[in-house]
This record gives sequence, structure tokens and C-alpha cells, in this order.
Amino acid sequence: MKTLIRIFGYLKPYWARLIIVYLCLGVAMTLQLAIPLVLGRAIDNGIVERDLDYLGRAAMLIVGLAIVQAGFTFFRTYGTHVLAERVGNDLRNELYSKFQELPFQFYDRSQTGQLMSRATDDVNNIRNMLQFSMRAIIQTVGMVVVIAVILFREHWMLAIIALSTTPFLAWWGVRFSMTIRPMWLKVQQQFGVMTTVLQENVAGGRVVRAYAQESQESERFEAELESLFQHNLQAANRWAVSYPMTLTLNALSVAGVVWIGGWMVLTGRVSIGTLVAFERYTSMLQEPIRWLGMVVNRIAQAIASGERIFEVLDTRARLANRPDARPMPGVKGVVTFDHVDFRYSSARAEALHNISFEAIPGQMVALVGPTGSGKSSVISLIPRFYDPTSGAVRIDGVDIREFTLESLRRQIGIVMQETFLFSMTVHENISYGRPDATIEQVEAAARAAMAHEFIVRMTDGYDTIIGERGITLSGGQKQRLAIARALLNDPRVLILDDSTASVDSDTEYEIQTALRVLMANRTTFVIAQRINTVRDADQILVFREGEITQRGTHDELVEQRGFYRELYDLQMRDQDDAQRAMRKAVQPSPDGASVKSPAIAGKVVS
Amino acid sequence: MGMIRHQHDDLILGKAYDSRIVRRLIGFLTPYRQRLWFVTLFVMLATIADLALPLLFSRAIDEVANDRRMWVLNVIGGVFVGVVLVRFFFMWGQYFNAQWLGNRVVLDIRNRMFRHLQGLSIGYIDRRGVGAVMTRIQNDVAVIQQMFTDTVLGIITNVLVLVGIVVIMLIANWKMALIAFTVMPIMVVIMRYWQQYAKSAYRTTRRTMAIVNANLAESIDGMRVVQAYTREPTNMRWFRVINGDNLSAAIDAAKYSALLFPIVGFLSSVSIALVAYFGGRLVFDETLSLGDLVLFVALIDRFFAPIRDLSQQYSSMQSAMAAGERIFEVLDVEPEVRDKPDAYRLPSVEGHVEYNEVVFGYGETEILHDINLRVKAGETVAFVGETGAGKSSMVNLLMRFSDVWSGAITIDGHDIRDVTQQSLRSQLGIVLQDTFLFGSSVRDNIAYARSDASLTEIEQAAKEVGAHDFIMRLPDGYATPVQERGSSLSVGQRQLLSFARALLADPRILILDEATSSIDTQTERLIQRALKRLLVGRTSFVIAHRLSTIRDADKVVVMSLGRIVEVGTHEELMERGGMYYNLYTMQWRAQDLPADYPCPTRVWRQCGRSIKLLGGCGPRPP
Repeated sequence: MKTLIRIFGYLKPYWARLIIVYLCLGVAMTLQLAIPLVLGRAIDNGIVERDLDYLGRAAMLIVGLAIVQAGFTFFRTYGTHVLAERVGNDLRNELYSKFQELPFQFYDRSQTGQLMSRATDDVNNIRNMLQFSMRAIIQTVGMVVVIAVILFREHWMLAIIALSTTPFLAWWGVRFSMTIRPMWLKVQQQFGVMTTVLQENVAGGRVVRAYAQESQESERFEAELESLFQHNLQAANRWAVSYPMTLTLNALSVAGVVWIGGWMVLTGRVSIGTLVAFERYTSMLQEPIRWLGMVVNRIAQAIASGERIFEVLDTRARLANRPDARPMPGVKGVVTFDHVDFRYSSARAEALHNISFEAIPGQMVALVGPTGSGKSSVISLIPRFYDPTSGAVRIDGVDIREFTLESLRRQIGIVMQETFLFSMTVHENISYGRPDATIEQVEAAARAAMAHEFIVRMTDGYDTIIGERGITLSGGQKQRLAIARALLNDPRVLILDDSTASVDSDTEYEIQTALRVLMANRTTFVIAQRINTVRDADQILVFREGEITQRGTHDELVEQRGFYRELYDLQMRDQDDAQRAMRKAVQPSPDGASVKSPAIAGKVVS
Repeated sequence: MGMIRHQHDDLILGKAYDSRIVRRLIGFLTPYRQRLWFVTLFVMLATIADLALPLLFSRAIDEVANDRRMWVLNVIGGVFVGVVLVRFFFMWGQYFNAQWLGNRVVLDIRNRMFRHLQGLSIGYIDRRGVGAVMTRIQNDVAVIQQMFTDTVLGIITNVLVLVGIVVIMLIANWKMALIAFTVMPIMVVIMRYWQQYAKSAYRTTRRTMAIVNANLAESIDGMRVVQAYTREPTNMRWFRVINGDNLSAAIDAAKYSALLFPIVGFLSSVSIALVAYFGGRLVFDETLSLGDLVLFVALIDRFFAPIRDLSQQYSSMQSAMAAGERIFEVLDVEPEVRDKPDAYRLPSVEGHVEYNEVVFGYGETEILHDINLRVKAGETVAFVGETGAGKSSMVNLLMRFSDVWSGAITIDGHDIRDVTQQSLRSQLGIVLQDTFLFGSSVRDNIAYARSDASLTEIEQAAKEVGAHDFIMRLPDGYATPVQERGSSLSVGQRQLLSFARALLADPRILILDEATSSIDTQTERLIQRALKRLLVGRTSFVIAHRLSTIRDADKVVVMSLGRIVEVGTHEELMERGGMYYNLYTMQWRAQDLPADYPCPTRVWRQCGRSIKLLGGCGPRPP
């Protein structure tokens, strides 16, 4: 009920229209109900009494009523549609704006599909309820009451007969919608199961084919289809009984009116015109009462949808700017972690414990450690995707919580592990953080990220649309665009989260070389698994279970026992072999293609 | 600036009736001919019963107005009740059987599509995308289901009702019938115009809605990027614009949908007024009974609703045709790889594999040129080369995911095109780079290819690849369900599971696409150990990224631009100092190179790659 009231709250800005709409609804309904009465009078006073004038006037009256009714019907239908659309639109805007405010934690635990359905299906359910159900309820109740009043005024006994099945109809409709709902839920569940099998076979098609399981999978799918069919049939059976039942109940009332009413005409207790009018009214009752079932269903749906939407809207927004937050001035980029503890809101254990370090401009800080050791948590604290539980992150000595988020993030460039590009042109993707960037700036960033070459080779160059509706890029190309996007911001702090993991080694080498130039004067954080990527770092921080267990340069860390040494051994044992092999290879080789430069030989051997 | 400006192809609606598609859709009904007759029969009976009611009422009016016989009224009343009750069963039969048919046909279509899909090469799914293929089987078929259960039934009922009403009216009194129908031409003209305008308004609404939804989906997906780049204000502004576009389109469409009811209602009232007036005069002349007049009024009331419904059913048919077309498009895709009619079972092989003069490509582009390779049973072959060199095509051809353009691949002398795919693949095992796990339990995943394997066998396989320990630490051990795409397991653990799966299948020939993604040290160790175990005693083809794998291989096959450039052991190739040597040194020493070092990528460039040199690279050696 609270949810329902809250939904209706969205009508508040439109209350004046709402009143007009319902006034129109009332007028249109009353006029509609007047027509059978006029018709009855026309039969009694016009046709039976053979009064052509009266008949003519009655016919004109019907046309007149019909015109006015049509006008009001138009306005009430249009009005409800517009109201519903506006509320739906408002809800979507509100959700979108909320989505943008929600912190990363929220996206850690929600799936895109679920959030999408909030803004699409759930909003639609509410729209439908406002458009159909509210009108239907008012109209049903209104029609039943008005018809009852008219009928009782005409003839009370016949009125009782005409309305005798109405309570059953209403009861049946409501009960039906209650019983069919769990059946539909089962159908939906089974549909979900079927979808999973389908999804696995489409997405995992290689495995299915590789292990020659096509026929087993087909049988499994058919079994799920069969089960879906059975569930569907159950619901269909229920419906196939229920719908004719409501029609039958109503028709039985009509039968009573015809039979007993006819008998009353014969005994002179009612006129033929009244009988005709009664038959019309009784038939008219059928539709609105049938709506009742649908209305119950849709309101239940709308409430469930409302709850889901409000759950999102009520989620605490992101780390809001402090009231006294100020824009971050142009900074040098000294990043300090001061005894930082951090825990994800959903987790019990701390993700980071007592992290302290300082990175100065021009430095490259490498973070290494096993999966889940806290590397990614550290770097997501710098642009304030999360806030530390205790301790502080400072830039140029100032706690970053004192700055506005926008100004802080504008000076940080991030390349995430999973590259996300938008379905826009290459140009728009690169200039995502700075939509006003000139083409020269965009190109310069692309060149620096080694992306320019492949971009200009595409059909429309920088105007090529990429992503779902455009052309597909390889993992390495996506990475390079993401790097260009980060570089365009000319950030003081650059964060690279395993950003070269999915490019092949020659491309990685090229990117690394390019980045090295760009890293000058910036503070750079790099997460990587390859020793090669991190060995030149000015500081290497080794993470284990949320703590920094070792720190130092490559040369220092290799001397110590620990994770870094292990990693080195694992990767460099191979390299030692390589060196040995190369020592041999430096001997002149017959085809002359090998590298014989003494510079390299010296370098390798040393 | 625009974000998503492209029209969704689902929105283009065409014909409401395409005989080619309808004929094929009807083909799905043939197995259920009998039930189809039932439905038709019940629909007709229900319609007749439906129209009998006003007829009975008019007879009752005539009786009480003129002859006033009580027993006749009683008969009419009794028949009325009888017809109402009988109609219940007719309607029940009609709805139930229609639902049955619709659901059954949909089952058959989905089943057909699924089986068809299983027979198509994996390349089809790769090209179309998982989402697009899913949509066809889920949504397009659902549209067809609606067509079978609701739309067709509705159209038949409505047409029957319209015809029935016209016939009854003409029989009762043709002059009155003409009077009643005078508004019809107006109605037809108005409907035509209405439809024209409404259709484009609805289309605009759907299009703007699709744009809103696409934008939403992308924004949610990329929210981390949005926030990292503080694009919120820009995006919000843009969203308000497109959402507002949708609102104005919806309001525009609301105008049209709000017009329909009043117009139809008004015309039907006018028709009733005409009938009442002129009919009344005919009653004076006694050329029309009062009962018939009442009958006309009742029938006019029933006449307009079907006309209104038909216009909606028209657009349902349009979307059904579009859906049907997309469904048949899938069903019409010819499998790229088919068993020959005389294909035989591949007998148990030793694992001697040969590529003879193999040429292969996709579409117009040739990808592999003149590949010759001989692999002895039990050998481990490592493919090395840059992305796009043709390594994956080599193994895809061996799996017969595609067929060669020319040349042949043989296993123990059997051309793989001469044997059944089933028997070929049952002797091949594959471990993919991107490990795919099914939503079932760990146990079922390991036993995927051998559902008859005992738990001991499964555990044995898991132990041998070193997966047993972590499996036992899972909440339910081997019975723990693996979430979709294995989200609760780490990348390394998922790989170990797929190793166990391959080991249990115990194929003579193993294909392994090594993952490049970074794994932490302990798991890396486990995997290296497991790999060694996996490769023992079978012919193995490895798309290799690990140096340890390459070094242990019996043959390293260096590929570039669709050709085999070098073949040999690691040591031999290092001695030769060719492409492999360069690749090798670059991969492991790149970062140590001095700025004036001749660029190690030069070999690639000589092979035709057009990557420009970086600033750090010096001049090429002469």
C-alpha cells in the first residue's frame, strides 16, 4: 500500500490534469449509460405509441449524446495516456540520474539485465497501471453503481435479476487472477531454465561441438521445452475455462432478464422498452467486471515493480561531495596513502589494511600480488570510486575528500582491466571525457596510444562507429583506444589496471614504449602480472591479503625472499634459458637474418 | 553529439501477409491437423451460439409484443439458457485447443531451431553474436506463438462475426441492413486515414523507445567509465533529450489511439439512431417487427468491436511476418560442414595427423595457404605466431568446425571429411582459451563428455590435474554448482576444471588453446604441471603462449600470415636464428633493449606487417 501511494505521488505534479481527466471520464460514462435509456423510451413512447416526432427527437438525442460522449471519451483516453507517459518518463529520468550517482559497490553486485528491467519492464508496468487500471477501477465501480441506480429506479425486481450474477463475476475475476498468477510465475521460471540451456549451448557451442554432445544437448533442450509446454498448458487450461465462464455468468443474467422480463411484459408489469433497456444494461456490465481480474493482476504487478524501482531509488547515492568540497586546483600529483583501511560494504573482511605509501610525479608505482590481494582496491580509492573506511588518501597533501568528485576525476586517467567502449564513433570514444577536444588533440592521443595507425585504416577513420552496432575491434585495439581516451584528459595521475594483458607482446612493447614517454611528469600506477611490465618501476608494492608485504625496486625485491622473487623465478627461469640460447644464437647464422649487433649481445650476456 | 542513432532492424515492419512465410508457418501445423479441425469447428460453433443470443432475444420481444404466448416465451427462455451453457463448452474447446496448438507449434519451432543450430558450424554463432541468435529462438518464436494462439484465432472469430451479422441483417430485413450500414463507408475511410497516421506515430514511438533502451543499457554497462570520466552531466542532458523525444512521440501516438474508441463509438451510436428512427417508421408500416428492430440494435453494437480489433490484429500479423522471416532465415542457413552420405565411423586412431596442401579461408579471404604438416602419433605440436597468423584456423579445421577449401587433413590416413563428425570429435579433445563451464555441478562439468563416468574416475582426473584440492574446499565439493560463466571460480581454477574434463574424455588427439590472461603464481605452477600431465601419450596441438609449453614441444610450428614459416624443436629454431628466434627474444627481452637497438619487430614487418617503428627503434640493419 505504501508503494502504491508512492506511485500515485508521481501524479502530484499533474494533479490539475488528473482532475480534468476524471471529470471527463465521469461525463463520458454517464452519457454512454444514458443511451439505452433513451432507446427504451423511444421504443415505448415512439414506436409502440406510434409517435414519429418523439422517435425523431429520440434519434437526434442519441446522436447528440454520442457526439458529446465521443468528445469526452477522447479527452479522458488521451489524458490518461499522457499522464501515464509523463509519469513513466519522469521515472526513467529519475532512474537514469540515480544510476549515474550509484557507487561502484552497487554495480559490483548488480547485473546490467536486472537494472535494465527496472527502467524498462518495471516502468512499463507502472505506466500500464496508471493508463488502464486506474481508469478501469473507477469506470467499473462507476458503471456498476450507475447501472444499478438506473435499473432499480426502473424496476427493482428485474434489477435484482439483472445484477444477480455481478458479485459472482467480480469474485470469479479476482479469484482467477490470483490463481493464474503462480501459474504464470512457473511458466516464467521454466522459460528461464530453457533460456539457460539455450544460452549455454549458444555461448558454449564450441565445447558442445568439441565433445560431440549435440544430440544429448538437443534432448536436454527438448525436455525443457516439453516442461515449458506443460506449464503453459496448465495456465492455458485455467484461462480457457475462466474466460468463457465470466461470459456465461453474465449471459445467464441476460437470460434471466429476457425470460422473466418477457413474462413481466406479458403480465403488464414492465414495458417492452424497459425490457430492451434492461437487456442492454445487463450486457454492458460484462466488460467492466471482466476488467476487474486484469486490474487486480496489473496492480499487483505494478506494486512489485514499484518496489523494485524504489529499491534502486532508495539506494544511498555515491560518496556525495562534502558540503564544503572545493574544486581541485591544478595539482602536481603527489599521491599519498596514509594508513588506509578499506572494506567493501557487502564484505565482512577488510580488503585493505594499513596501507601507506607515497608516489611522486614522474614516478611509476607498480602493484603486484595474487588475484584478490587488494591491488585493484588501492587504485579505485584514488579516483574515489570508493572511500577508505579509515585513514586518508591525499593528493599534494590534501585529503581528496575535500575536493569535488568531478574535479578530482578530471585529473586522473584510468585504463581499466576490462575495456569498455561505447557505440559511438572512434572520435567520440576517445574524447569521451573531454567532448570539446579538437580533432588534433584526439589524433595526438591516438598516436600516443599506438591507435592512430589502425584507426585511419578503418573505412571511416575517426568517424567509424564501433561497438555493438558498428565494427568489432580486437582486444588489443580496444585497449589502445581506452589508453588514448585516458591520455586525452592529460591527467596528472595515470592508472593502468593490467591494461596490456590482452594485447600481444609486440603491441605491448610498442604501447609500453609510448607510455614511457607519457609517464614523465605524471604519477603512474600500474597493475601487472608480467615482470617485464613492472621491472622498471620506481616503486614496486607487493600485496598479499590486503596488506603491503614488500616494497622496493625490482633489484631490491629480487634479492628478498617472497612473492616477487617467486614470480621472478617462475617467469625468469625461462628467461635465463633465453639468455643461454641467445648466447649461442649470437654466433653467425647462415641466413644472416639474425641479430648480430654487439650491443645486444653485450646487453644480453651481462 | 549523438550516441545511438541507428534504427533497430526489428522495427522495420513490412507486409501483414507474406504467402511464402505463411505457407511455411502453416507447415508446422500439419502434424496437428486433427486438432486444427477441432479449433475451427469450435470457433464456428461458438460464433453461431454467440449470434444466436440476440436473435433469441428479438424473437422474445416479438412474442411479447405480438402473439403474447407464454409457452413460446418459455421455450425461448429455455433455449436461451441452453445456448449460453453450450456456448461455454464451445468457447472452452476453442480457447484450450488454440492454446494447445500455439504452444505445441512453438515447441516444435524452437526444437527445430535448436537442432538446426547444433548442426551449424560454430562460425555461424561467432558471426551473428550470441545475443542475436538467442533473440531469434526466444523472442521471435514468442511472437509467432502469439500469432498462433491469439491473432489468427481473433481474426477468424472477427471475420466470422462480421459475416454472420451481415448475413443475419440481410435476411432479417435488407432495407434496414442498408440503413444500418450507411455509416460503413465513412468508417472505412476514417480507419484508413487513422491507420496511416497512427502507424507512423507508433513506429516513431517504438523507435524512440529503442533508442532510450539502447542508451540505458550502454550507460549501465559502461557506468564505471562514465563515472571515471565524469560524464554524468553530459549523459544526463543527452538522456533527457532522447527520453523527451520518446515522450513527445508517445503523446503524439496517444492522440491517435485515443481517437479510435470515440470514433467507433460515435459511428455505432449514429447507426443505432438511424435504425431506431427509420426502423421505427417501418414498424409503423408493419414491414418490420419490433423484435427485428431490437435485433438490429443489438447486432450493430457487436459489429463495430471486431472492426476495431482487426486493425490491431493487422499490426500483430505484421510483426509475426517479420519474426517468421527471421526464424526461417536461421532455419535456411545451410550447415557448412555436413557428413557425406557414405561417411563411416572413424575407427580408433593412433593419432597420426597430416595436413596436405591445405588451403582455407572465410568468405572471400584466403587465410591459410598451402599448409603441409606431418605429425606423428603422440607428438606435441606448438603453434606460435602473431594474432591472425592462422593458428586457430589450423585447429578449427582439424576439429572440422569448417572444411578446407582444397587439400586434405587426414588422421591415420582417413580423410576427416570421409568420416562422421560425431566419430571424429569423440576422439578429439579440446581445451579452449576462454574456459566455458556449464551451470551444472563441478562433477557434471568434468564428466561433460562422459556422463557415465564414476565419481572415482572423476576424482582421479581432478587429482591428476591438481584440481581436487580446491574442489574439496568448495562448499559442496564436487556437487557445488558452477555459476554461469563460472563467476565464483577463478580463471585458473576454471582452466584446471577444463583440463580435468579433457583428461577424463581421454582423447587420442588433444587441441589446446593456451590462455594468455594473467594468473597468479601458485595457479600458474599448477597449470604448468597439469599441462604436462595432459599432453602425455597423445597427439597434441597447442596454440602456445607459455614458453615452458613451447620448449617441451616436439615440434614448434611458427606461423605468419597464413603460412608455416618454420618447423622444428625449440633448440633447432633458436639455432637457426630466424623468425622464431626474433619472436622469442622480443617477447622476453623487449624491455631491456637500448634505445638504439634495431627494432625486433622488423621480422614481422618484412613479412608484410605495416606497423610503423617507434621512436626507440633505430635504423634497420642492411
